[in-house]
Amino acid sequence: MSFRYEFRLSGSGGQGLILAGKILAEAAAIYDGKNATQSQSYGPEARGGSSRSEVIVSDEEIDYPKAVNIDLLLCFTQEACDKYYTDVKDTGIILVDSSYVTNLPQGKFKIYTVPITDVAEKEVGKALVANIVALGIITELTDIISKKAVESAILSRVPKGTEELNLKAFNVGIKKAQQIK
Amino acid sequence: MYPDWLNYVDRKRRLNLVQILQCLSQLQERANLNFIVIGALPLLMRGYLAYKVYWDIDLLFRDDTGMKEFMKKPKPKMLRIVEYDEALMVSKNITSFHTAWAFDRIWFNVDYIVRKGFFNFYAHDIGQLMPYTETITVHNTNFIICLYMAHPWDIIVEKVISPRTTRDVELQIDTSIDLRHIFAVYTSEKTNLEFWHYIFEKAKLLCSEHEFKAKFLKILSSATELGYGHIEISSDSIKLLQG
Repeated sequence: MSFRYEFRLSGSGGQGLILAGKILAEAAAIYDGKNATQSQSYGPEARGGSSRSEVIVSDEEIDYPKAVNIDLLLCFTQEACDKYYTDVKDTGIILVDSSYVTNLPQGKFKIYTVPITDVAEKEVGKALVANIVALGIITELTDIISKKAVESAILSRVPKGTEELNLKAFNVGIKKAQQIK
Repeated sequence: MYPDWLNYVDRKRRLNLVQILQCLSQLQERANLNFIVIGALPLLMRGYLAYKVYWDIDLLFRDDTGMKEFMKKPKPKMLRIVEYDEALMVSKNITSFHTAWAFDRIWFNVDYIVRKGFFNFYAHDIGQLMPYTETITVHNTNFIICLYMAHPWDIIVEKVISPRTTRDVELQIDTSIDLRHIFAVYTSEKTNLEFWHYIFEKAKLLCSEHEFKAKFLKILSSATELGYGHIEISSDSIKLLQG
Protein backbone atom coordinates (compact mmCIF):
# COMPACT_ATOMS: atom_id res chain seq x y z
CA MET A 1 0.00 0.00 0.00
CA SER A 2 1.33 3.43 -0.88
CA PHE A 3 2.07 6.04 1.70
CA ARG A 4 2.15 9.84 1.80
CA TYR A 5 3.65 11.60 4.81
CA GLU A 6 3.40 15.35 5.39
CA PHE A 7 5.84 17.38 7.50
CA ARG A 8 5.37 21.04 8.39
CA LEU A 9 8.29 22.85 10.02
CA SER A 10 7.19 26.19 11.43
CA GLY A 11 8.66 29.05 13.37
CA SER A 12 10.22 32.37 12.55
CA GLY A 13 12.65 33.54 9.89
CA GLY A 14 16.31 32.90 10.62
CA GLN A 15 15.72 29.65 12.54
CA GLY A 16 16.89 27.53 9.62
CA LEU A 17 13.56 25.82 9.01
CA ILE A 18 13.60 26.27 5.25
CA LEU A 19 17.00 24.62 5.10
CA ALA A 20 15.81 21.84 7.42
CA GLY A 21 12.89 21.23 5.04
CA LYS A 22 15.21 21.07 2.07
CA ILE A 23 17.48 18.59 3.87
CA LEU A 24 14.51 16.35 4.69
CA ALA A 25 13.29 16.41 1.08
CA GLU A 26 16.77 15.77 -0.31
CA ALA A 27 17.30 12.92 2.16
CA ALA A 28 14.05 11.27 1.12
CA ALA A 29 14.42 11.78 -2.63
CA ILE A 30 18.12 11.80 -3.41
CA TYR A 31 19.41 9.37 -0.79
CA ASP A 32 16.40 7.17 0.06
CA GLY A 33 14.98 6.92 -3.47
CA LYS A 34 11.50 8.11 -2.47
CA ASN A 35 9.55 11.01 -3.95
CA ALA A 36 9.50 14.33 -2.14
CA THR A 37 8.36 17.91 -2.54
CA GLN A 38 9.44 20.83 -0.39
CA SER A 39 7.80 24.20 -0.21
CA GLN A 40 8.59 27.33 1.70
CA SER A 41 6.78 30.44 2.68
CA TYR A 42 7.71 33.42 4.74
CA GLY A 43 5.70 35.98 6.58
CA PRO A 44 5.99 39.67 5.71
CA GLU A 45 9.64 39.83 6.83
CA ALA A 46 11.89 36.96 5.83
CA ARG A 47 14.07 37.34 8.92
CA GLY A 48 12.17 37.53 12.15
CA GLY A 49 8.71 37.12 10.61
CA SER A 50 6.95 33.77 10.36
CA SER A 51 8.53 31.00 8.35
CA ARG A 52 7.16 27.67 7.21
CA SER A 53 8.50 24.79 5.23
CA GLU A 54 6.47 21.79 4.15
CA VAL A 55 7.82 18.47 2.99
CA ILE A 56 5.77 15.68 1.47
CA VAL A 57 7.32 12.25 1.17
CA SER A 58 5.74 9.44 -0.78
CA ASP A 59 6.71 6.14 -2.33
CA GLU A 60 4.73 7.16 -5.41
CA GLU A 61 4.93 10.29 -7.55
CA ILE A 62 3.18 13.16 -5.80
CA ASP A 63 0.02 14.33 -7.46
CA TYR A 64 -0.54 17.41 -5.27
CA PRO A 65 2.48 19.12 -3.65
CA LYS A 66 0.74 21.08 -0.89
CA ALA A 67 0.34 19.70 2.60
CA VAL A 68 -3.30 19.20 3.57
CA ASN A 69 -3.24 16.70 6.41
CA ILE A 70 -0.16 17.11 8.56
CA ASP A 71 1.51 14.00 9.98
CA LEU A 72 4.26 15.85 11.81
CA LEU A 73 4.25 19.47 12.88
CA LEU A 74 7.39 21.05 14.28
CA CYS A 75 6.83 24.32 16.14
CA PHE A 76 9.64 26.65 17.02
CA THR A 77 7.36 29.47 18.16
CA GLN A 78 4.14 29.69 20.16
CA GLU A 79 2.52 31.60 17.31
CA ALA A 80 3.26 28.79 14.84
CA CYS A 81 1.90 26.19 17.25
CA ASP A 82 -1.33 28.11 17.83
CA LYS A 83 -1.76 28.68 14.11
CA TYR A 84 -1.09 25.22 12.73
CA TYR A 85 -2.01 22.56 15.28
CA THR A 86 -5.53 22.25 13.87
CA ASP A 87 -4.07 20.95 10.59
CA VAL A 88 -2.52 17.94 12.30
CA LYS A 89 -4.13 14.52 11.84
CA ASP A 90 -5.56 12.73 14.89
CA THR A 91 -2.83 10.17 14.45
CA GLY A 92 -0.19 12.85 13.87
CA ILE A 93 2.68 14.17 15.95
CA ILE A 94 3.43 17.65 17.22
CA LEU A 95 7.01 18.36 18.25
CA VAL A 96 7.50 21.65 20.05
CA ASP A 97 10.64 23.47 21.08
CA SER A 98 9.75 23.99 24.74
CA SER A 99 12.41 26.71 24.90
CA TYR A 100 9.79 28.87 23.14
CA VAL A 101 6.46 27.03 23.22
CA THR A 102 4.79 26.73 26.61
CA ASN A 103 1.06 26.58 25.90
CA LEU A 104 0.45 23.15 24.43
CA PRO A 105 -2.54 22.49 22.17
CA GLN A 106 -5.19 19.92 23.04
CA GLY A 107 -6.10 17.14 20.64
CA LYS A 108 -5.84 13.47 19.79
CA PHE A 109 -2.39 13.88 18.27
CA LYS A 110 0.76 12.99 20.17
CA ILE A 111 2.79 15.88 21.56
CA TYR A 112 6.51 15.73 22.27
CA THR A 113 8.19 18.61 24.06
CA VAL A 114 11.93 19.07 23.86
CA PRO A 115 13.86 22.26 24.68
CA ILE A 116 15.50 21.98 21.27
CA THR A 117 17.29 25.33 21.23
CA ASP A 118 18.60 24.86 24.79
CA VAL A 119 19.78 21.38 23.89
CA ALA A 120 21.59 22.74 20.83
CA GLU A 121 23.30 25.38 22.93
CA LYS A 122 24.24 23.20 25.90
CA GLU A 123 24.95 19.85 24.27
CA VAL A 124 26.30 20.92 20.90
CA GLY A 125 27.65 24.34 21.83
CA LYS A 126 25.72 26.38 19.27
CA ALA A 127 22.07 27.41 19.50
CA LEU A 128 22.00 27.96 15.73
CA VAL A 129 22.14 24.23 15.05
CA ALA A 130 18.74 23.77 16.71
CA ASN A 131 17.31 23.07 13.26
CA ILE A 132 19.71 20.14 12.81
CA VAL A 133 18.94 18.83 16.32
CA ALA A 134 15.26 19.00 15.34
CA LEU A 135 16.00 16.96 12.22
CA GLY A 136 17.52 14.25 14.40
CA ILE A 137 14.44 14.15 16.63
CA ILE A 138 12.07 14.09 13.65
CA THR A 139 14.02 11.33 11.90
CA GLU A 140 13.93 9.10 14.96
CA LEU A 141 10.30 9.82 15.90
CA THR A 142 8.83 9.28 12.46
CA ASP A 143 11.04 6.58 10.95
CA ILE A 144 10.00 7.74 7.47
CA ILE A 145 13.43 8.73 6.18
CA SER A 146 16.55 6.74 7.05
CA LYS A 147 19.16 8.21 9.38
CA LYS A 148 21.86 7.52 6.83
CA ALA A 149 19.95 9.47 4.18
CA VAL A 150 19.47 12.47 6.46
CA GLU A 151 23.15 12.38 7.44
CA SER A 152 24.14 12.34 3.77
CA ALA A 153 21.80 15.22 3.00
CA ILE A 154 23.21 17.25 5.91
CA LEU A 155 26.76 16.61 4.71
CA SER A 156 25.90 17.77 1.22
CA ARG A 157 24.59 21.04 2.63
CA VAL A 158 27.39 22.07 5.00
CA PRO A 159 30.99 23.12 4.36
CA LYS A 160 33.73 20.61 5.09
CA GLY A 161 34.88 22.49 8.17
CA THR A 162 31.58 22.07 10.00
CA GLU A 163 30.63 18.51 9.19
CA GLU A 164 31.50 17.22 12.66
CA LEU A 165 29.47 19.87 14.49
CA ASN A 166 26.39 19.34 12.34
CA LEU A 167 26.54 15.55 12.60
CA LYS A 168 26.92 15.91 16.36
CA ALA A 169 23.79 18.08 16.41
CA PHE A 170 21.89 15.49 14.38
CA ASN A 171 22.96 12.63 16.66
CA VAL A 172 22.08 14.61 19.79
CA GLY A 173 18.59 14.96 18.28
CA ILE A 174 18.38 11.23 17.62
CA LYS A 175 19.30 10.47 21.24
CA LYS A 176 16.77 12.95 22.61
CA ALA A 177 14.06 11.28 20.56
CA GLN A 178 15.08 7.83 21.79
CA GLN A 179 14.67 9.08 25.36
CA ILE A 180 11.15 10.39 24.84
CA LYS A 181 9.73 7.81 22.43
CA MET B 1 24.11 16.90 -25.74
CA TYR B 2 23.81 16.31 -22.03
CA PRO B 3 25.43 19.10 -19.99
CA ASP B 4 27.61 18.29 -17.00
CA TRP B 5 25.55 20.45 -14.63
CA LEU B 6 22.54 18.20 -15.10
CA ASN B 7 24.44 15.50 -13.19
CA TYR B 8 23.91 17.62 -10.08
CA VAL B 9 20.15 17.45 -10.44
CA ASP B 10 18.38 14.46 -8.93
CA ARG B 11 18.00 11.89 -11.73
CA LYS B 12 14.21 11.74 -11.35
CA ARG B 13 13.88 15.52 -11.67
CA ARG B 14 16.10 16.15 -14.73
CA LEU B 15 13.46 15.82 -17.42
CA ASN B 16 11.02 18.06 -15.55
CA LEU B 17 13.65 20.74 -14.97
CA VAL B 18 14.65 20.82 -18.62
CA GLN B 19 11.00 20.98 -19.70
CA ILE B 20 10.45 23.93 -17.36
CA LEU B 21 13.57 25.73 -18.60
CA GLN B 22 12.39 25.30 -22.18
CA CYS B 23 8.98 26.62 -21.22
CA LEU B 24 10.53 29.65 -19.47
CA SER B 25 12.69 30.27 -22.55
CA GLN B 26 9.53 30.51 -24.60
CA LEU B 27 7.93 32.87 -22.11
CA GLN B 28 10.84 35.33 -22.21
CA GLU B 29 10.82 38.13 -24.80
CA ARG B 30 14.14 39.77 -25.54
CA ALA B 31 12.50 42.93 -26.87
CA ASN B 32 10.51 43.36 -23.71
CA LEU B 33 12.45 41.45 -21.11
CA ASN B 34 10.19 41.00 -18.13
CA PHE B 35 12.11 38.53 -15.97
CA ILE B 36 15.48 36.87 -15.62
CA VAL B 37 16.61 33.79 -13.73
CA ILE B 38 18.62 34.56 -10.60
CA GLY B 39 19.78 32.56 -7.56
CA ALA B 40 21.64 29.28 -7.53
CA LEU B 41 20.52 27.92 -10.90
CA PRO B 42 22.64 30.26 -13.07
CA LEU B 43 25.64 29.39 -10.88
CA LEU B 44 24.94 25.69 -11.36
CA MET B 45 24.40 25.98 -15.11
CA ARG B 46 27.57 28.05 -15.54
CA GLY B 47 29.59 25.37 -13.75
CA TYR B 48 30.33 27.06 -10.43
CA LEU B 49 28.40 24.63 -8.22
CA ALA B 50 29.06 20.92 -8.22
CA TYR B 51 26.90 19.21 -5.62
CA LYS B 52 23.52 17.56 -5.69
CA VAL B 53 20.69 19.28 -3.84
CA TYR B 54 17.08 20.27 -4.53
CA TRP B 55 17.45 23.31 -6.81
CA ASP B 56 14.79 25.97 -7.03
CA ILE B 57 14.14 28.32 -9.93
CA ASP B 58 14.09 31.98 -8.92
CA LEU B 59 12.59 34.45 -11.38
CA LEU B 60 13.32 38.12 -10.81
CA PHE B 61 10.71 40.40 -12.38
CA ARG B 62 11.02 43.99 -13.47
CA ASP B 63 8.14 45.05 -11.20
CA ASP B 64 4.88 43.90 -9.60
CA THR B 65 2.96 44.57 -12.81
CA GLY B 66 5.38 42.42 -14.78
CA MET B 67 4.97 39.61 -12.28
CA LYS B 68 1.19 39.74 -12.49
CA GLU B 69 1.29 39.80 -16.29
CA PHE B 70 3.53 36.73 -16.25
CA MET B 71 1.12 34.92 -13.94
CA LYS B 72 -1.74 35.54 -16.36
CA LYS B 73 0.24 34.68 -19.50
CA PRO B 74 -0.92 31.51 -21.29
CA LYS B 75 1.34 28.54 -20.62
CA PRO B 76 1.52 25.03 -22.07
CA LYS B 77 -1.59 22.94 -21.43
CA MET B 78 0.46 20.10 -19.98
CA LEU B 79 2.03 22.37 -17.37
CA ARG B 80 0.51 22.33 -13.90
CA ILE B 81 1.22 25.20 -11.53
CA VAL B 82 0.32 25.00 -7.86
CA GLU B 83 0.46 28.22 -5.87
CA TYR B 84 1.91 27.81 -2.40
CA ASP B 85 1.07 31.34 -1.26
CA GLU B 86 -2.49 32.54 -0.97
CA ALA B 87 -1.50 36.03 -2.11
CA LEU B 88 1.61 37.99 -3.08
CA MET B 89 3.96 38.23 -0.09
CA VAL B 90 4.74 41.92 0.11
CA SER B 91 7.34 43.47 2.40
CA LYS B 92 9.22 46.76 2.27
CA ASN B 93 11.61 45.93 -0.56
CA ILE B 94 10.60 42.48 -1.73
CA THR B 95 7.47 41.00 -3.27
CA SER B 96 7.46 37.25 -3.68
CA PHE B 97 5.18 34.44 -4.70
CA HIS B 98 6.01 30.76 -4.32
CA THR B 99 4.80 28.13 -6.78
CA ALA B 100 5.52 24.58 -7.89
CA TRP B 101 5.58 23.60 -11.57
CA ALA B 102 5.22 20.14 -13.07
CA PHE B 103 4.71 18.61 -16.48
CA ASP B 104 3.94 15.28 -14.86
CA ARG B 105 4.03 14.60 -11.13
CA ILE B 106 7.58 15.69 -10.39
CA TRP B 107 7.45 19.18 -8.92
CA PHE B 108 9.92 22.00 -9.15
CA ASN B 109 9.76 25.10 -6.97
CA VAL B 110 9.53 28.27 -9.05
CA ASP B 111 9.66 31.45 -7.00
CA TYR B 112 8.59 34.82 -8.43
CA ILE B 113 10.44 37.77 -6.95
CA VAL B 114 10.45 41.54 -7.29
CA ARG B 115 13.25 43.40 -5.48
CA LYS B 116 13.36 47.14 -5.67
CA GLY B 117 16.24 48.23 -7.92
CA PHE B 118 17.63 44.78 -8.61
CA PHE B 119 16.14 44.03 -12.02
CA ASN B 120 18.01 47.02 -13.43
CA PHE B 121 21.13 45.90 -11.60
CA TYR B 122 21.07 42.51 -13.32
CA ALA B 123 19.73 43.67 -16.69
CA HIS B 124 21.00 47.25 -16.82
CA ASP B 125 22.42 46.71 -20.29
CA ILE B 126 20.08 44.32 -22.05
CA GLY B 127 21.99 44.77 -25.31
CA GLN B 128 25.02 43.19 -23.65
CA LEU B 129 23.06 40.47 -21.88
CA MET B 130 23.60 37.15 -23.64
CA PRO B 131 21.09 34.36 -23.15
CA TYR B 132 22.20 30.95 -21.99
CA THR B 133 21.63 28.74 -25.01
CA GLU B 134 21.85 25.00 -25.15
CA THR B 135 20.04 22.07 -26.70
CA ILE B 136 19.66 19.30 -24.17
CA THR B 137 18.65 15.77 -25.00
CA VAL B 138 16.83 13.87 -22.30
CA HIS B 139 15.08 10.57 -22.96
CA ASN B 140 15.79 11.00 -26.69
CA THR B 141 13.94 14.31 -26.86
CA ASN B 142 15.65 17.62 -27.63
CA PHE B 143 14.88 20.60 -25.45
CA ILE B 144 15.96 24.05 -26.57
CA ILE B 145 17.02 26.39 -23.81
CA CYS B 146 17.54 30.08 -24.63
CA LEU B 147 17.21 31.82 -21.33
CA TYR B 148 18.25 35.16 -19.94
CA MET B 149 19.94 34.52 -16.63
CA ALA B 150 21.78 36.75 -14.21
CA HIS B 151 25.54 36.99 -14.73
CA PRO B 152 27.15 34.81 -12.01
CA TRP B 153 29.48 37.63 -10.97
CA ASP B 154 26.48 39.94 -10.48
CA ILE B 155 24.90 37.31 -8.27
CA ILE B 156 28.01 37.33 -6.10
CA VAL B 157 28.03 41.12 -5.86
CA GLU B 158 24.45 41.04 -4.63
CA LYS B 159 25.17 38.27 -2.15
CA VAL B 160 28.26 39.98 -0.72
CA ILE B 161 26.38 43.15 0.18
CA SER B 162 23.14 41.45 1.21
CA PRO B 163 22.11 42.13 4.84
CA ARG B 164 21.29 38.41 5.04
CA THR B 165 24.92 37.54 4.29
CA THR B 166 26.17 40.11 6.82
CA ARG B 167 23.98 38.44 9.44
CA ASP B 168 25.14 34.96 8.43
CA VAL B 169 28.77 36.04 8.83
CA GLU B 170 28.14 37.69 12.20
CA LEU B 171 26.31 34.66 13.56
CA GLN B 172 28.69 32.24 11.83
CA ILE B 173 25.88 30.36 10.14
CA ASP B 174 27.82 27.58 8.45
CA THR B 175 24.78 26.36 6.54
CA SER B 176 24.39 29.72 4.76
CA ILE B 177 23.60 29.06 1.12
CA ASP B 178 24.73 32.55 0.12
CA LEU B 179 28.16 32.08 1.71
CA ARG B 180 28.54 28.73 0.00
CA HIS B 181 27.90 30.39 -3.35
CA ILE B 182 30.31 33.23 -2.62
CA PHE B 183 33.12 30.84 -1.69
CA ALA B 184 32.40 28.66 -4.74
CA VAL B 185 32.71 31.56 -7.16
CA TYR B 186 35.69 32.99 -5.28
CA THR B 187 37.49 29.64 -5.55
CA SER B 188 37.00 29.62 -9.33
CA GLU B 189 37.77 33.27 -9.99
CA LYS B 190 40.24 34.46 -7.36
CA THR B 191 43.15 34.74 -9.78
CA ASN B 192 41.04 36.26 -12.55
CA LEU B 193 41.73 40.02 -12.60
CA GLU B 194 38.82 40.56 -14.95
CA PHE B 195 36.54 39.19 -12.23
CA TRP B 196 37.85 41.62 -9.62
CA HIS B 197 37.64 44.59 -11.95
CA TYR B 198 34.09 43.62 -12.95
CA ILE B 199 32.73 43.16 -9.45
CA PHE B 200 34.30 46.37 -8.12
CA GLU B 201 32.71 48.34 -10.95
CA LYS B 202 29.35 46.58 -10.73
CA ALA B 203 29.12 46.93 -6.96
CA LYS B 204 29.08 50.71 -7.41
CA LEU B 205 25.52 50.37 -8.69
CA LEU B 206 24.45 49.11 -5.28
CA CYS B 207 26.79 50.66 -2.71
CA SER B 208 30.14 52.38 -2.30
CA GLU B 209 33.24 50.52 -3.45
CA HIS B 210 34.61 50.85 0.09
CA GLU B 211 31.56 49.16 1.61
CA PHE B 212 31.64 46.34 -0.92
CA LYS B 213 35.34 45.69 -0.39
CA ALA B 214 34.97 45.77 3.40
CA LYS B 215 32.13 43.24 3.30
CA PHE B 216 33.93 40.90 0.93
CA LEU B 217 37.09 41.16 3.05
CA LYS B 218 35.11 40.33 6.18
CA ILE B 219 33.70 37.21 4.49
CA LEU B 220 37.08 35.98 3.31
CA SER B 221 38.70 36.75 6.66
CA SER B 222 36.04 34.68 8.39
CA ALA B 223 36.53 31.65 6.12
CA THR B 224 37.74 29.34 8.88
CA GLU B 225 34.98 30.28 11.34
CA LEU B 226 32.41 29.75 8.59
CA GLY B 227 33.69 26.26 7.77
CA TYR B 228 35.69 27.21 4.67
CA GLY B 229 39.15 26.94 6.21
CA HIS B 230 40.09 24.48 3.48
CA ILE B 231 39.82 27.20 0.84
CA GLU B 232 43.04 29.10 0.32
CA ILE B 233 42.48 32.82 0.58
CA SER B 234 45.16 34.39 -1.57
CA SER B 235 47.15 37.35 -0.31
CA ASP B 236 46.52 39.04 -3.67
CA SER B 237 42.77 38.93 -3.00
CA ILE B 238 43.26 40.49 0.41
CA LYS B 239 45.43 43.25 -1.09
CA LEU B 240 42.80 43.99 -3.73
CA LEU B 241 40.11 44.23 -1.08
CA GLN B 242 42.23 46.37 1.21
CA GLY B 243 43.15 48.71 -1.63
